[in-house]
Amino acid sequence: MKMPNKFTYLALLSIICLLLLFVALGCSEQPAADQGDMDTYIIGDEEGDWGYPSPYGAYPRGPGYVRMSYLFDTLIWKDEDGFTEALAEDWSFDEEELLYTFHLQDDVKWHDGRPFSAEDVVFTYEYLEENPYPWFDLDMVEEVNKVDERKVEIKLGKPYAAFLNNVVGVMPILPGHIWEDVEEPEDFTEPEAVVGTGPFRLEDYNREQGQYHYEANPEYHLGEPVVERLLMVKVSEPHLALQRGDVDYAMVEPEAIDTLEGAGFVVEPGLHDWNLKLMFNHQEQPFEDNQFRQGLAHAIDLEEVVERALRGHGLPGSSGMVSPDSQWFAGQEKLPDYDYDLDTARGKLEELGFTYQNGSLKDHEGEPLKVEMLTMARFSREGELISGQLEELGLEVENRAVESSVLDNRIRNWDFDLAVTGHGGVGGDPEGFRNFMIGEASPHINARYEHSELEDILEKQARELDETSRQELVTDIQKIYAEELPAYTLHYPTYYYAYREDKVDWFFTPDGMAMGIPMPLNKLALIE
Amino acid sequence: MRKRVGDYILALLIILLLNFLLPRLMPGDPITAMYGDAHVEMTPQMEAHLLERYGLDGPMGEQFVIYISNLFQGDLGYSFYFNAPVSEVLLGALPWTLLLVVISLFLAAVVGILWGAESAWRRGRRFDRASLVAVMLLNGIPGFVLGILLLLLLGFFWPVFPISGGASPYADYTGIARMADISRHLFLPALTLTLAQLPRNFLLMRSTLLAVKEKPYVFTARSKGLKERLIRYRHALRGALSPVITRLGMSVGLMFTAVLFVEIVFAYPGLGHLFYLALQYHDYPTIHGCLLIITVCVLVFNLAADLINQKIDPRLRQKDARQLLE
Repeated sequence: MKMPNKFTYLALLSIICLLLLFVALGCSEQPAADQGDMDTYIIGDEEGDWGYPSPYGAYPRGPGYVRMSYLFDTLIWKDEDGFTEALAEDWSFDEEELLYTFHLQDDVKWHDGRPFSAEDVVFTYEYLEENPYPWFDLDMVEEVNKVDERKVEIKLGKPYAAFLNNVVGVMPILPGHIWEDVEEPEDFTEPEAVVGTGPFRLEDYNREQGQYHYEANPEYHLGEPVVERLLMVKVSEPHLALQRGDVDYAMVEPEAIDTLEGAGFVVEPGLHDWNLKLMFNHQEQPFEDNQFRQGLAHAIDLEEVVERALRGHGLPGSSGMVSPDSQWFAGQEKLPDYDYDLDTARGKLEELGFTYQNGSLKDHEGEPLKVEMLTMARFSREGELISGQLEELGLEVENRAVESSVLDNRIRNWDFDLAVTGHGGVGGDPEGFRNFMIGEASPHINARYEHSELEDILEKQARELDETSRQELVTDIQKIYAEELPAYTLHYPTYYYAYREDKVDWFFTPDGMAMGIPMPLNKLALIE
Repeated sequence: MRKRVGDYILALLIILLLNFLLPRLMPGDPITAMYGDAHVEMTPQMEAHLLERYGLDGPMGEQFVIYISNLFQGDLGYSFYFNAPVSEVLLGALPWTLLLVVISLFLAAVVGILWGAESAWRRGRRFDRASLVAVMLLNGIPGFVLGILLLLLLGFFWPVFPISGGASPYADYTGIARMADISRHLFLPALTLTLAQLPRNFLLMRSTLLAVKEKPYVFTARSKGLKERLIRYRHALRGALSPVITRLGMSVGLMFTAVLFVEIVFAYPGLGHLFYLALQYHDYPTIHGCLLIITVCVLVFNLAADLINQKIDPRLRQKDARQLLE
């Protein structure tokens, strides 16, 4: 500090230099342009990082599974029409014996050049049983046998209707020659951990940047990939990134639809697999009575919630919970409809002994009816609307927006009156519905209702192998659920996906990819 | 001096204990936060497997002992969510954050100090009034709004800078080209963070200098007939620098949280977003690691601020005088 003036000049000079450097750099050529050729396809994603795309390394979320599915194959997969061949070219089922037989494809090679065989299938089953895999449970399988080099039999211990959808169509087949010595599959992140039979090979994964670099596998047994290079990168404003040409595909906000369509992008609404619901603490009065819950449902204007909270980008809830997009949806005409009607609502409550005076509902002792409603902070808009509507009915509602872990915890401990929360999986296989309705699994999103008939039918549909009969059972489930109303589905938000049609023609998989991932990123769209 | 370093070590130990306890006091648990997704089949067997794998099956005291003993062996643990050693996860993100934070801190400090000083000397004149209005306006815009504005202006309407990431994805640049690429990606995030930090430095410098301006030693310097530039920069500025430097040292901790919005707006890699995800998924080892880095940075920068202050202000070097000042 002997010469402060010199120091000052130096500092000033360095700032100017830095600024000049940045401006000079900023004006130099745009590297994004050289990735715009036909052979590179870039998928943009706001989160970016979904884990190392090995079967055990990918994060337990849909996008993590999708990244893994480009490298690994299952025995069967789904296209726009339902189940289709993958590593198995066809399959059959012996209902008497509960025996699935899979005929495997010829000449399939692992990315390292070794041939794929029936032994790998048997190995995978044994490996997954020993090292629990988050996507499914293998309880129902009795044994898996190799019949010959191209034939595998899987025998079930009990009938399980969702076996193809929830297990066979989800289970990535692992190369036995690589995984046989792997003790800790989650820690296995060597390059061999991503050797699969899939249409792409992993070139690079960058966690910090949230980037994946895949190269096409020209020998892919179902056809050659239509792009040579597939990148998945993290982007901040997806609709701007699309228009700048930084990416070819991204999920976008509804506000950007018109602009993007004007710029030549295809924008498609996704499948409605996610629902926001109002949970009742039916362990306590006054919510114990389903007539009370029905009364509240009549006081909620779902159309208004969709219109005002989602600006119209969503579907109003179905009282049976199941998504209207699902093949398992009962149809609204078969379910009780809780039309918005305050008189009906009050009528239901008055039958239970509540009285309505001077705009307020009173209980048997003449005390005003006060409830607390917890709302996941992300859905505070919905929370405000619903508490407003319930106040209209005459309840005193204290609406509290809370962080999701607080909400999960209080729901789990039955420490709430009303709660607004949500979950996906309402458009997938009915086997998953059980965990939102009965039992103790996932208590933070599960209504945990006790109802012997509902429990029986949920159990029965899991074992019903005839599709038509199963459909009837699933319709009955929705009818009972809607009548009992252990929780009330408020809406299914619509998510939008935008992409350029000239490169890859994405499609939606009925009831979602694999166990029900409601995104368009099916790998079959990427092969010829 | 030795006492001072001792204080810092004690502070570090207390903070380590708090860092361990606080995340575990958050409501909720890692298993629900990470696997609460509807598509995942959580069987009791799977849950037991995960608890054991994450080392969450023992009592809290035992977990703390394991954490501390591992820490002293240089092992930060294994991240639940990222499925990798915490040190690896942190080391991947840290350089990006440091690059962003150090450059913005430096720019915001230098520009803020000089601008604030010039403004103070011209108190009440047009330059000062215009500067105040500009700074107040800047101060009033929330950081993320500023980021989005810059992104729209310089990334979209006049697309000179990239809007996402720390470098072009898989562009295979090497050497100078790679550095240039990184700088281009750094420009908008660094500019945003600098502008967001600038007003406070400016205002503090301006108000401190206004007080110093009236001090007798400035009057003395002036009556000695010293040149105006010398009075301003060697005498007055030096006297006013101390609180600004202390504030800069303290603001490093805040910078790590401020950097979060920049990382989100520009999809920039770094610790902020990592910390956010770790909190969201109750990934205790990663939370501990992030907090540890922030703690160490805050302590180091505070120590540095202390040392610089002593260098600038000789009065702080003498114990008696320091007590007198306090």
